[in-house]
Amino acid sequence: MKEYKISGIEKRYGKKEVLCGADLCAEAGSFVGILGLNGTGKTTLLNILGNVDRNFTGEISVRGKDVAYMRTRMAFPEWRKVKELLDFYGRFYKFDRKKAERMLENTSIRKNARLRALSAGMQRQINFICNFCVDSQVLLLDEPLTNLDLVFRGVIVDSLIERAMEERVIVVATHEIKEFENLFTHVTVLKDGLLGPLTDVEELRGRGMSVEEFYGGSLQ
Amino acid sequence: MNFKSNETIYSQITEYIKKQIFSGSYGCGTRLPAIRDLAVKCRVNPNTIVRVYAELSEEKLIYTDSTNGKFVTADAEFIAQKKRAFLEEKAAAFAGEMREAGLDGEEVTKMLQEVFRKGQ
Repeated sequence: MKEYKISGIEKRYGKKEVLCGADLCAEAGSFVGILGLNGTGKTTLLNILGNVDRNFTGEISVRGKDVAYMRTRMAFPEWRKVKELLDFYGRFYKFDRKKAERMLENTSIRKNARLRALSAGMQRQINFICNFCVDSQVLLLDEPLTNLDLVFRGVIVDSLIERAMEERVIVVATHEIKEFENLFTHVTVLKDGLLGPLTDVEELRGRGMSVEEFYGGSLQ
Repeated sequence: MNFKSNETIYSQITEYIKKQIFSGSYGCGTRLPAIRDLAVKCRVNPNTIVRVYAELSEEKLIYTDSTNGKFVTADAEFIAQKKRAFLEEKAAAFAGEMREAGLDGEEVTKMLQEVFRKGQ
């Protein structure tokens, strides 16, 4: 993959048009932040990119098993066990199960536990670990730090740093600019159903502007 | 590390490494941290560290041994020269600010001695 390209994504809920032609073109190796207020359609967009929502118009260059997607909530049945979730990832994706199990050992999640028995934070942990260990060209994360304690927030940030060297595209939709601003290579703001221009973050700072200032300015 | 959010991260880390080299914390011939390790330590994108090391190589302060990683230049004389140039630049910028505020060299020197005495 040389680049990850999406163009003209449109989505409406009844009469309400949530996305009206969103475009993005990110080179392999980019770490893209999609910023936007609540209710602007970040999750709607990621659901489309992550194969969850197939009812839209527009084009996406990479789809299916080449895209891993950490949703805010996992769709896997809650009465299933953790190890069954790992089995599922192993069957569906090119999945580094050994690595996932190593990461799990550093949490208090047991492989025999049922998903519904896990706390909200632990569910987020397993959700991250599974998607992170997929060898995919694109990794999408929707508000990955929500509900997590400081320690696991650190695990997520450090893990993403380790993988940012690889020739894949990482896309994070978030409000938590502070935690991610030094990881992003580019940011874009979702507003009025459109993605703003993809902006090089170091270039922005070179002009004396922080990511937060850029975001604030884009909202006006 | 705490970064200023409205200055390029690569220039802030480059400056940090330079100070480590000039102060002798990273002595001549010392092996520099691996890209990933420094990225995790600074909590920044590893591509930023790639750029930092490229910048330092360009200035010949570090060199790459293709099998073993990056090292601080072994030429102590060269580093001393670079350090002097680096500090002179800082001093010139500082002097410029003081001059703008209407102080002369003697007053600035006095003030500096005072500051150093207080250990600030």
